Amino acid sequence: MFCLVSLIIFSILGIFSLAYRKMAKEALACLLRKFSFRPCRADFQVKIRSKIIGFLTKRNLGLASFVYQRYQLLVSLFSFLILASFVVSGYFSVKSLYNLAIYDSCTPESPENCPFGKGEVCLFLDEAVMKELDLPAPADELTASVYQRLPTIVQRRIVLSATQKLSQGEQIEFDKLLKNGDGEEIQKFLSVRIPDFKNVIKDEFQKLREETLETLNLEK
Amino acid sequence: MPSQTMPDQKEIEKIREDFPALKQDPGPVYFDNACTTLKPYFVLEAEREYEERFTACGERSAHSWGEKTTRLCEETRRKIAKFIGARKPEEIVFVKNATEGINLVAHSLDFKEGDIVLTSDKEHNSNLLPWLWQAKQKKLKHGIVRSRSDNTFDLEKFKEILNREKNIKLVSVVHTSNLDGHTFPVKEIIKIAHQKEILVLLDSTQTVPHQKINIKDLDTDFLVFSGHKMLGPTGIGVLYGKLELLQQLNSFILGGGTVSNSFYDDYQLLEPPQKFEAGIQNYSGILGLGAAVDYLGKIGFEKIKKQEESLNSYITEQFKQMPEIKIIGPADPKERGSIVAFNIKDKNPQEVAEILNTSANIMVRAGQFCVHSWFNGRKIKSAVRASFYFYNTLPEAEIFVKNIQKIIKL
Repeated sequence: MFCLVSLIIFSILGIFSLAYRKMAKEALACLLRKFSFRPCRADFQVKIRSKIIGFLTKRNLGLASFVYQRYQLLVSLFSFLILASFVVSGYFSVKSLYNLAIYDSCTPESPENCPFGKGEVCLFLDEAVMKELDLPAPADELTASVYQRLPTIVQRRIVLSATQKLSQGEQIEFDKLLKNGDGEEIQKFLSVRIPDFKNVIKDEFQKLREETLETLNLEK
Repeated sequence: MPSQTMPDQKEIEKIREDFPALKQDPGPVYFDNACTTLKPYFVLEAEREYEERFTACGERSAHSWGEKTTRLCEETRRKIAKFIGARKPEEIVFVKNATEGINLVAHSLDFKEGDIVLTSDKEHNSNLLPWLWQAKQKKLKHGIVRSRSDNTFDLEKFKEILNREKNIKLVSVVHTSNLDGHTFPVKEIIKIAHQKEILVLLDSTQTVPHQKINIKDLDTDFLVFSGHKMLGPTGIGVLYGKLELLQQLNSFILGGGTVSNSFYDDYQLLEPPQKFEAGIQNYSGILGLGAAVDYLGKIGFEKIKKQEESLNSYITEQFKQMPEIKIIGPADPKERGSIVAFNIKDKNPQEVAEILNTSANIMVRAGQFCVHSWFNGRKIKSAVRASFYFYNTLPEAEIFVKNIQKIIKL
């Protein structure tokens, strides 16, 4: 495990420094020896241990002594934690890649948090939405954080309401447009297909405004 | 505190000014002088002057730079002959290092099948492998004189072997051991060997930098040492040989500079030392070595010895109070010159050296110091070796001891 963890760490550090590349090679040799059921060369482990203990001795003899006496245990523990963190981050990376391939976002539940993919459709600029909602200035941090989410909510609601007014054929076409994510095109499409699209927008803004004010009053 | 026996520390501090490597920040505690020594400005300057101002081929080119190179190299040869008390400058052969010097003798001396070469059991690989190689070629046999229990040379056993074995051609022993700093009783060894008409080769690599030696007094047949262990550059060493023996030796490496003439079917070798110095030589190294010899002469071996002994005594005294430490070699620090080789109970020597380096910038050697055979023969894995030179100070020794104490506490 020590060789494997050393190989991973020194391979990463080796990107930046030749000295670490040499260590990575030694770690690889150590790992290969393990695979062929030969004991790892003591030199490598001793070298790493001495460097750590030497570094600690310079700063805190007590800590150096603590680490020296429990070195094997600490190495096992540390190696396990590093490997576990690699496994967990590996799992999330694979999951994110899967989501990105299927849903065009690594976090479909909150696409705004994913730097990759096409993300949310943007029909209106956030500032324009807030101006239209015409809400009082946020009194506290909680209100401000609620306000931050309003542009996303209103746009989702508008898209949802509009979709319900489209025919099946139009919905397929609309899905394609959504994937491209061009807000202007989407607005144009919906304005042509839905005669009262402006009212849909107006209604959704109105509803959200009322809901927000009501929620804020209730909380107060 | 060995303050009464310590040389003037202000003087040592002044000497340290001559060594650019010691002026670095953070300053190192360099205790690996048995491996190689630091170089003073004078040596670096001598090397640089040749490379910068008159780079030329010695012994060949007749122009002014060529002649200057030849003249300065021959002056250095004379200087070295005087430095070690050789009879003639022709007895000084420039080689790459002591290892090459020993190999030259091993390959050039006219051995017959069944001849025996005797070494001690504390030889550096450079004075063991050439003989083992020869033994494997079935040209000669290799014998060993085992040390006494305190790791000193066993003269009685040596005499016994010489009385028993009739085919000993050469005794090739280390003069001062790089393992524990112990200096062999070489005068007696040579005397006993010569009584039996046996040749003697001394590996004086760890002696010449630390003690005044006089070849005329020792009467050794061959002697080798390296420049870089005595403040000189790497890649330059010396083989001393009695002129009549050098004349008898076969050539080891042949080429430009070794012959007076050559034909399609024959050649005429030059006299020693030229017949051994094939090809363009390490001129900057030779001149650097000359500067090192001048510098050592200026410092004086009395002062060098005094400083090394005081450091070794201080460290040994401190180590005696640490039961975890076991020193290799004689207990008396005066018998270990500038070296303290030791092991700490339950601590890996490599680890000790690395911790010293990482935590306190103290540079020591760990391992088997190229004396693998001694360690393997005693089933000792390795050791730590601290080796000093005259530019090392008592405060450095104190830092070293303090950090060893810390390591013991780990």
